[in-house]
Amino acid sequence: MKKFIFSAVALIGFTVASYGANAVDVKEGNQLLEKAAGICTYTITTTLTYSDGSTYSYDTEYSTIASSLRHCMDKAQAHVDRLNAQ
Amino acid sequence: MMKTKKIFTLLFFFIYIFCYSQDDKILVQYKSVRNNLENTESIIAEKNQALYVTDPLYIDNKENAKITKIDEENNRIEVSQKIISLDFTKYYLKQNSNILYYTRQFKNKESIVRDSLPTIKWDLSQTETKNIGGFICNKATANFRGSEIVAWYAVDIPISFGPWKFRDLPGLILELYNQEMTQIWRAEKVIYPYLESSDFQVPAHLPMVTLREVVWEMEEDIKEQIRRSNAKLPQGVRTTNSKINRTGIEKIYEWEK
Repeated sequence: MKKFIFSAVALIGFTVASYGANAVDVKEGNQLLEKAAGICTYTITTTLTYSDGSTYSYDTEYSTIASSLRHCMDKAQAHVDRLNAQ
Repeated sequence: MMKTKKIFTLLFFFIYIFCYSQDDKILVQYKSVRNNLENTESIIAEKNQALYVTDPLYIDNKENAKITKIDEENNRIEVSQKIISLDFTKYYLKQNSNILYYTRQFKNKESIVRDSLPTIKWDLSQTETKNIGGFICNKATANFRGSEIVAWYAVDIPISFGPWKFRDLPGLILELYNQEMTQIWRAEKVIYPYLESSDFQVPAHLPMVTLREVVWEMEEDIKEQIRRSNAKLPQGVRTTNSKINRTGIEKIYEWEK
């Protein structure tokens, strides 16, 4: 009988993150002085596909502190990269 | 494309013989798309039994794993998995039995999964037809384990099998998809008669598990994966509970009703 080689990993996935932040602009008149730190929330969705055709996904919401929307996005991105490297 | 057409045309001329040679085998190769992953799946069928095979899939994204899709408008970041690896899987079906057996490789252990398929109540009242590779196909719809399914079957090929776990139509299914079009199978090649030898016997040396046990094991494994991820959070990050969703065709199983 023909022998087939099985791969060691049975599942695959990719991750998607969406983020939002409520960093507060501190202004004097119309002049922006600084951005205060705010709560940064982001959701990471992990999708898993198995060899037998079943697929799953799960959402996990995370919260942390960020100084701006960009900072929040960078944190989410770093977290996704870290999970993806596992 | 030309090649596919040729094979379909060839089959057309064999239909007459096909009707009178039902002990012969047919091979249908499907292109499957599951959650954007394309693969090749094939069925080798006789009148009373079939062997369905999904090709192994291995994609190495090492080079571009760092490339992310950033959707600024919707605040979304998409990252590809570095390595995508799916096993070769064989499914064994019999005409007069609703028990499907398939091979499984999980955590380096091989087994056979026993799946008691529910009787699919196909709605055959649809009047639409479609030409697939020279065959006039009729439309049928059904609900399978919580998903709405559309199938196109060729009445000129009186074999009641189709892709994956789908069966029990008056002709071979050449196209099938779920309502959301996230899971699609399309026949790309038909070979009749198929003369290669085929082993329709379920391997007897492998341990057998039920689908119920497999689903429980997979979902426990996902929960463990979530626990591991949450145990290694970046500094200053808190998390809420995660909910596992079944995003494939099978959303509800018989034992859960």
